[in-house]
Amino acid sequence: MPQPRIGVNVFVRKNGKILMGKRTGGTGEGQWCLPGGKLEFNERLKDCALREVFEESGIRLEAVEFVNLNNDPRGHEHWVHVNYQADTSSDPQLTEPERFTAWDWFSLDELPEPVFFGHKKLIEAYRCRKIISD
Amino acid sequence: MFIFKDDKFLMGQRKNAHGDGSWSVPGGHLEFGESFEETAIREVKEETNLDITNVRFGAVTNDFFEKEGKHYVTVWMLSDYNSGEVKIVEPDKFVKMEWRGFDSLPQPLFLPWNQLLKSEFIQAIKHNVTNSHG
Repeated sequence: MPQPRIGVNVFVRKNGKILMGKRTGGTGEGQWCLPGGKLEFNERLKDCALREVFEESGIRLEAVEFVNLNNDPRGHEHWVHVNYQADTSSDPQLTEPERFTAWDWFSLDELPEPVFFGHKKLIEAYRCRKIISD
Repeated sequence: MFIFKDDKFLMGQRKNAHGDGSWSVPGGHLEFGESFEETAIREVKEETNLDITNVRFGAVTNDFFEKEGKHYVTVWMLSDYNSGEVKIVEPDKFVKMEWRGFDSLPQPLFLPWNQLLKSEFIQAIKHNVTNSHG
């Protein structure tokens, strides 16, 4: 049996909106997701959050705050997502055009369509301020 | 897994695996496809013979075992005692089990406790102990 994998995602906030990117070149093609990625061996969770946001969007965050935990077993894959939030005054860049075709800011009430299937549960939990979704 | 009962929680002294001789709360690996709550109920039953209720989020910590080259993300859940007598069901894994509080933590503590005790979650957990009705 494979082991559950750990994903780290960040709600990057500016003017009451959150940052989302349009995926390309892999799972969830054309779907909008939060910046984030897979925890590396011997990496701290918050360091992973800062690294992924910088790699994917060019935004340097100073610190992140824990918001929620999401368990997502879905048949052939099983992810545990640890999610953080942070405020920024910067704007995103397309630093990984092979993975993202766009970045933009969205209000939680007007999310882009379609939202990446792997992030739907954790975004809903964030909207409802639920610390855990299982 | 914290199991609260009368302002205390159950701790066990570990044997054989990493952290031999150190103290922690019961717990184990999230299995592929399993929810946090299912893991919590299963592991507590397997290790202590107790039935628990009101399973809820406690903390998430990132724990690197340098000597063993292991990297764990630990999800700490809280629960209330429901029924059963404490029994060391797996004597190859635990030497003894005792009800303890934050003012009477046994030593040495299992490595992930270092992270837990300095995490942003610890105050809420302490608050939960004194307000549990288990």
